[in-house]
Amino acid sequence: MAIDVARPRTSRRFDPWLLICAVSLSVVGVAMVYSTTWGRLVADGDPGAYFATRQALFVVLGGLAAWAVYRLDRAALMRLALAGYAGSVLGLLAVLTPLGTTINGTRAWLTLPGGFTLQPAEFAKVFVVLLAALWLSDRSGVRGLGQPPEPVAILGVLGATGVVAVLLLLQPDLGSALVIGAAVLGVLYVAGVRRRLLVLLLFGGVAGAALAYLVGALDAYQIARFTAFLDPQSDPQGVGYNVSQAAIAIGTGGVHGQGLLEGAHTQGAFVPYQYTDFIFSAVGEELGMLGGLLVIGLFVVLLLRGVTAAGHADRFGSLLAAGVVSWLAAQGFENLGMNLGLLPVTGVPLPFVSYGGSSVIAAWIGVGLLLRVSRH
Amino acid sequence: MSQIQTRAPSRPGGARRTPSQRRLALLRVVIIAVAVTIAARLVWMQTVQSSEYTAKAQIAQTDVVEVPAARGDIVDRKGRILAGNRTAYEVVAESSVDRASLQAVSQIAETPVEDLSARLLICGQPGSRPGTCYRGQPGEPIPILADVPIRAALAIRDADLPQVSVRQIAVRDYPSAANAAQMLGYLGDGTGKSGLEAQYNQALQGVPGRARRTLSREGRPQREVIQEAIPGQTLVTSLDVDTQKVAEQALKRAVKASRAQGYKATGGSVVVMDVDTGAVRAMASYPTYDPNIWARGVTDAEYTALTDENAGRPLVFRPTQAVAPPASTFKSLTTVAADNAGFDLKGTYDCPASVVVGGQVFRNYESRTYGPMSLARALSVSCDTVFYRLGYQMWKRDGGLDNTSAAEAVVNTARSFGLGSETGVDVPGEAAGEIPDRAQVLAEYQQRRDDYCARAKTGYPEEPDRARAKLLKQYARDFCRSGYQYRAGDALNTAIGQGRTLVTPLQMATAYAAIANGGTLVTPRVGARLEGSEVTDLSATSGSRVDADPVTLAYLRKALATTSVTGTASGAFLGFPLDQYPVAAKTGTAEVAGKQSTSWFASFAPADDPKYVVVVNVDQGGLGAATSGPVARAVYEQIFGIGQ
Repeated sequence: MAIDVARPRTSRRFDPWLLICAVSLSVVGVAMVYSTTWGRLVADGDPGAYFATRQALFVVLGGLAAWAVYRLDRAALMRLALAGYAGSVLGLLAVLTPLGTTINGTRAWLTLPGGFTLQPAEFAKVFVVLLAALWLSDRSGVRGLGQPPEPVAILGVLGATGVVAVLLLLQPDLGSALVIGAAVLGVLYVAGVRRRLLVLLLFGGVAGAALAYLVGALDAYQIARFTAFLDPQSDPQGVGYNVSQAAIAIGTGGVHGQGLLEGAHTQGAFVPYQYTDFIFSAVGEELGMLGGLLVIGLFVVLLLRGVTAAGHADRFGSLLAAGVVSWLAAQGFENLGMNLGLLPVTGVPLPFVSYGGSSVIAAWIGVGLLLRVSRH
Repeated sequence: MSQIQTRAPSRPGGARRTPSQRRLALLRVVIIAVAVTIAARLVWMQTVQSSEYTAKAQIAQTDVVEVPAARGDIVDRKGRILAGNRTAYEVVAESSVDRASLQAVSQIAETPVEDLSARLLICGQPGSRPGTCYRGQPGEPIPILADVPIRAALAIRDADLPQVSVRQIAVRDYPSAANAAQMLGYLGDGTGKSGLEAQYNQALQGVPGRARRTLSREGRPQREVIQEAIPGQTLVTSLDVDTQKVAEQALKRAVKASRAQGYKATGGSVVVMDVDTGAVRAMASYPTYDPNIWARGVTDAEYTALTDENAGRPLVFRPTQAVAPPASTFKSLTTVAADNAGFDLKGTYDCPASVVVGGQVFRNYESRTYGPMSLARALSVSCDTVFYRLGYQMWKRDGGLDNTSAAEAVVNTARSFGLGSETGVDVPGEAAGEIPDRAQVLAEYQQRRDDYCARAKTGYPEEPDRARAKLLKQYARDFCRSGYQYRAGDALNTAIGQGRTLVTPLQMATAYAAIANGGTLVTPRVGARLEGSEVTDLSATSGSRVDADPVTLAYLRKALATTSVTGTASGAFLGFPLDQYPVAAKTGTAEVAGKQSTSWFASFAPADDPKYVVVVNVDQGGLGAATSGPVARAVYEQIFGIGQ
């Protein structure tokens, strides 16, 4: 490759910063999951570490999955991408059948034995990105970065993304649909797709979301989240309540925080869904501004090292890293934004930190892919 | 960045970076820009706005909540609980709850989803139904399922459905063997709506306290009570669970037996009361219902059944709300009236098979004839013709057809015994009954005269049956001409408790209590006292005197005592230790046009030193002695501990 020829490979080791950031975020995650769940668990007579232990198990499983994708060669990745994509689509179809479980108005979960649930949307994000990176680098790998990809490949990627997006909107899970859209846009952008097309796609996505709103594909619960963002007082006991309680938790944290397990608002269980989507509000209250900035910092370093890896890699690696970074950035920033009252509530978890097996394992697979790219 | 720049010269062309690298660089800029925005917002919230949020947190973490006061128990005279409290679980939902959540609740609780959604409708909204619609504050969570079994409650809680939650509530519990559903009454939204629950609601419900809810470090809300709730007072009644149970069971048996003989026996009452104080020892109403249905939440079907005419309207408390002609039980009062009008109690009266008044024949029951007898015997064997004659003679003395007279011996006496007006019992919703007099006949005539006088001219051309039309026209002509008259026939019917005289069983109980206690009209009381931090006595002030000579009442007590020995009730009291516990009684069989006869039994015991009055009636239940007598006997056996 042109770039790598010019610069001799000095190392085939991965970028340790990526791993450090992901592990640190995961540790914070396990600690905050414990802090936000132990009280209620103990009160109900259950072991207080129940959710935290499970979260740690998810991190270990995620690490193993990351190690697996790290070691796969391109051909195996291609097979994995196709199989994973097919599996995700089947999973997304299955949640719409009676196999699916509805939580918070969204039909997004499949129940597994042993009290586990599987959220196909989380895995769909990984596999759509992987598939897009593979297709867009397949034929034109030799052409080098910056050359526009073949229209056929673009259409293929858009088609694959569209299928998943429509299935997600049927759940309805607008947040995941937007995250996948952002991730694919990121891949297309770095792949050199013309700006005009990107802008068109962006508008198409916005129009699609608006259409979904108009034809009623989104149910009242989803709409309430948006109106609550515009006016938190409109529904003080519903989503607006959630947003305002999260803000109170963060605001009371101050610079140093109340201390782990010491946040009155967190320990009093005032913030609904705090151990999943609103876990950053617990970080803000108990670990304070310093803890909050640390989490944001770790996250940003992870993303920036991912971009750096993309800059160093071959076309496939570059697109893959750009896709993973776009995905994690869109999801992470949306989550932080909704915790801080900057963005509407769409119910996406904070990668590595929020409680949830599917989310944690998917994020770790993303890290595995980034580590793999960073090796070049 | 520097690494990229060092590589840049390897690219041919003038650009220092490849387009792709430019795009990656832009991605980097976007990430940093968004991260800085988010970090800035975090810093802003946690420094500048921190005190503002801390103040909000204190408000949120320490809200003042109402602490409901425990509702007081209703207990019997020995402290046995008739209506208490127990913990139950109810499912509440926001009014905007989605169908899927209701469906899930419906599945877990095995309740039709329509029943759940019906409860979400606020009363007065289109489609809302009384009984199931929501009467509470708008905006508050609406109870959609009350008294859910704990298993289902936990399952619903664990399902974590949006806008659905499960909460603990206290509901009424009825641990005693007695039913007394209508007398105890029911609650709606924590407030007594009927019966004793409504009458003593204020004392029973107590005063809710206030608590500031703060949070402990353990994550459980802690309550700091600002103002203690004052628990509701205990209502100690004069009821006796054992007597109540026996009365209910005996009444039910009587109804069943009466139905087995072909009577409809649509409903019945038992009243057991202290003759001196009016303290009610038992009041049974049939048909009845399971009071627990209120705790579970009454469905439309249940509410319909409670008020269904064909099912005997179980919601009605018959001892105070169902009126019927008193029939022969009224003869005791006619006797008092006769004495007041100057007739000789010691005289001899003929009891022919029938008497003829104004061309109309008034017969004895089964046209029996007994010959000359004392008034006491006439009461004992319930000879109608003796009282017809007395009634006719009093009617003549009171002015006959002249309806301006105010001296009406029978009506005035009956009214002084409490008939025609409410007894003042502490169970709300009492019926006053009716004792028609001359003034009332005149008032009705004036109201309807124009109609009938017009009909007297035009007749009834719309009536297809010509004979019937002729009869109706004749009646209209008669009414138009002389409807203002209080006729002899009316007086005769009143004298034997027939016609338009209507009384409640409780009214008959107070009337007979007056006979038994020597002439005091007591106010019946179910509540004896309220016990809380202090004790409030509920017994009624002493009642008014009835219009009767104590000698007459003593005469009556003696006369009525023979009914159970040799009179109409002798069959029902065969084998009863009457020498030990003499029972004074009067049977009655009321005739109501178009219906089967109503069975009455009014009594008190011991006849020589009366303690309790027992009145039984069974609507369309046949003969007084045969149907109602055994019920009274069962009650006396329980009270006096006979055969136990």
